[in-house]
Parts: sequence; structure tokens; C-alpha cells
Amino acid sequence: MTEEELMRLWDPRASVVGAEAVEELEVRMETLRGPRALPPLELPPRTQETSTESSPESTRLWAVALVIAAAVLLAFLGSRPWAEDGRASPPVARAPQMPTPLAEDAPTGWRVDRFEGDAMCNGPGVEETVVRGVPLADDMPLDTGPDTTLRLRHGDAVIELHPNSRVQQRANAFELTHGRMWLDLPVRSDGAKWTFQTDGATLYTAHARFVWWSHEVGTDEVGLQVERGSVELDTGRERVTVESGRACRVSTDRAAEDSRAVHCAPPG
Amino acid sequence: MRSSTAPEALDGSEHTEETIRAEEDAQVRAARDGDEAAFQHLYARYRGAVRAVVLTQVGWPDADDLTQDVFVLAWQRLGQLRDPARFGPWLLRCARNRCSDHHRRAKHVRVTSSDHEVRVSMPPRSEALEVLAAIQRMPESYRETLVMRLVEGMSGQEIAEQTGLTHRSVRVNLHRGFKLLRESLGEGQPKGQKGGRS
Repeated sequence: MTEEELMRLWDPRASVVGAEAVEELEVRMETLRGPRALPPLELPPRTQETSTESSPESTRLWAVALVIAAAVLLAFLGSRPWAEDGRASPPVARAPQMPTPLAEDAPTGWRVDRFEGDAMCNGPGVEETVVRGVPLADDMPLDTGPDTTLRLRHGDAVIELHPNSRVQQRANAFELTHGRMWLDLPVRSDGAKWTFQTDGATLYTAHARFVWWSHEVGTDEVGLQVERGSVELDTGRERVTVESGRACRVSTDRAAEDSRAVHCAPPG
Repeated sequence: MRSSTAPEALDGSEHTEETIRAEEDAQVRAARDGDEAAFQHLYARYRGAVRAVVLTQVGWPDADDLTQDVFVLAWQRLGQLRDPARFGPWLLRCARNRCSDHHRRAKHVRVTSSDHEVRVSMPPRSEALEVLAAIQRMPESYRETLVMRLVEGMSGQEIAEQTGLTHRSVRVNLHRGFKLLRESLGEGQPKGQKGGRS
């Protein structure tokens, strides 16, 4: 790609010579553009539950809750590690602590245990999943925004989901559609293996503690780094067991020669 | 649409970017408190980005109607947004989720009517649909950025401002996405044409 094409791609108003390839595509896509005049937007009245007005009494209660939350947060921040540039590492940057065993009658299936960040604007069911912690329904995407962190639990197993991630519970596996997560997976009571999937790979493990990423912004890469235990990584082209202390990655770029080949860094 | 700057001039536009962000934060807060005029400003600014997301996920026939739906939904749910600075990424998430919802429902051919006449929306040219289909087959991280740029005519800076992505991420998505798109369209040349892949 030429510098001129890059400049034109970045700025459609840049007048450059040598960016004909970009201009040609712009012309081809013209008929997909929306109407020149902005269509009118009719806004309905807001319902009571979405209104931001609140009574003086509830305002006072919120103020008290905020003060308590601020005190807890300050105590928490005091114990967190700081990155070299002075910013605190987000909770999900660290491996999760050992999960507290739950009562045997806790709901089965992955459910949201903790949630911080922007509320997500979703269809029916997601709000209940996030706020009340009911198990994830099949094929319902759960997203984290740029500043959102989220913890999921399945019995004693824990997932810490990074910002800019999407997960979905599928029929036979838990899917990381894109993003990054830490997983702490004990042995299952039924003896089965934990199964996870993403575009280009399926992971199996009896028990392990590892970080896993898939199609983060601007990349076609799937990868994992195992801290404890072992994880089998199956890309369809290869099946590799990733042991404790190892990191492996897979390119899912279909145009790449090594697409779906597994590359592992040396141990250490 | 606001003027954008070439990559070399990004540092010099920081003050303008801060001013724009402060103005937008104020508009989001006002809209959150019920100010319809403020929300209409946000609608004008973000319509292109939302439409690009909808086009990527759903295609052209329902793009305009669904785009309007997204803004109506966002207006109703704006009270849930705690950080006005995250309005853009939040809105685009709403768009994606609305599209997922749309896929779950049966759709029919849409007609628009005006002056008591029933008209069918003119479809885009087939070459535009071919390019859109090629984009829809690409990795997710490139699709929306490419449609924002090539269909809605947004600059890299505008895409970064409205999606919450860094300038670098947008540049990577545009560069790699465009390269992949050209390869994909080159592979799809009609039979009989000479020439290998570029």
C-alpha cells in the first residue's frame, strides 16, 4: 500500500495523487450511502423506569451509598499494584484469586458474579443476566465496553473478562467471540473437560489457570498462556497440549500461509 | 461533517479534539436529562457511524430503518450511561445488539410511501453490493471501520473519536482491511480475465 493511499484512506478530503485505488472504491460504494438530508428522528417520551429524575429521599440514599462505595474503593486501590506509568492495573490484568467454594445448590451454568463499567444496551434478558446473575442463556452475547470488567462464575470456576470482549454460551462450549479473559478452572464434579471455543480454535482442559485472547482489536490472532495445569488447543489443522508456563498463538488470517498453525514460545 | 487532519498534523489538533469532546459531553449530559435538542445534535453527529455498523451487520434493505431504531432505543436507555465520555462506544454497542435482535426476527421486503404512493427503495448498484458482501466476509475488526470510511465517508480521526478506538487501531484496521479487501475483490474477477493476484 502506498503512502498516498494511506493518506487518502485516513482523510477522504486529502487531495493526493496516486490514491486511485481508494477513490475507485469510494465511487463504487457511493450508492450505499444514506440520504443526503438527515432523516427526521421522532423521539418517544421516556418511560418511568428510564427516567433520570429521582425523589429527594432516594437522592439522599444514593449519596450515602456513594460515600460508602468511595470508602471501599479507596481501601481497595491502596492494595492494588501500580503499572510503571502510574495507572492502576485493571482488576482483570491480574490472575483471579482462588475462588471461594460455593454452596452446592448454586445455579449451574456461567453467570455474572461482578460487573463494573458502563451498562450495556442489549435486548431482552441481558439486563437480568448482568444485574441478577442468572445463568447465561444460550447464544446470548455478553459484551464488555472499553472500561467494563466482568467476573463470571460456574460453581468454583471463575472467568475474569477484559474490556472490549464478547462471550456467548453455546450448546456445547463457552465461546470467546473476541477479547481476552483470565480463567481459573478446577476439576469438574462430573469429571468432564471444560470446553471453550473461538473462531479458529477449541480449548479443552480438565483443570487449568490461564489467560486466553481472541481477535482483539486489529489482530487475527488467537492465543493463550498457561499458568497452571494444561490446555489442549485444537485449531483443526493442529492439536497441541500447552503445559504450565507456556504461551502459544495461532493466526486465523485465512490469507496467511501459516493460518491455523500453532506457534509456541520456548518455556521460561 | 467536521474537517479532519492528515496523520502528520494529529498533534496540532489536540486542542480542537478536547473542545469537541467537552461539547459532546455536555450534550450527552443534557440529553440524559431529557433535552431532545441535545440528543438531535448527537443523532446528527453519530448517524453515519451507526449506519455503518448496521450496514455491516444487516445489509442495505433495512439499514436506514434500523439506524433510526437504534437512536430511539438509545434515547430511551440513555439514563443507564454513567460516563458521557463513553457515549460513542456505548451507542455502537446498542447498534450491534439491535442488529442481533433483528436477525432473530422474520423480515419482509420494506416499502416506503410518500404522497400516498407506494414506492420501493432503489437498491444500490450491484458493484456496491459486491464490495459490501466482500467486507462482510472479512474479520469483524475491519468491517465496521471500512464501511465507516468507504460508505459514510468518515475520516480516520472521526472514526477514532466516535468508536473509542485509538488512532493507531483505526489506522491498522484501515490499512489491513483495505489490503484484504483488494485481494478479495481481485480474486472475485469474472472468468476470462487475465492476470494473477496482486
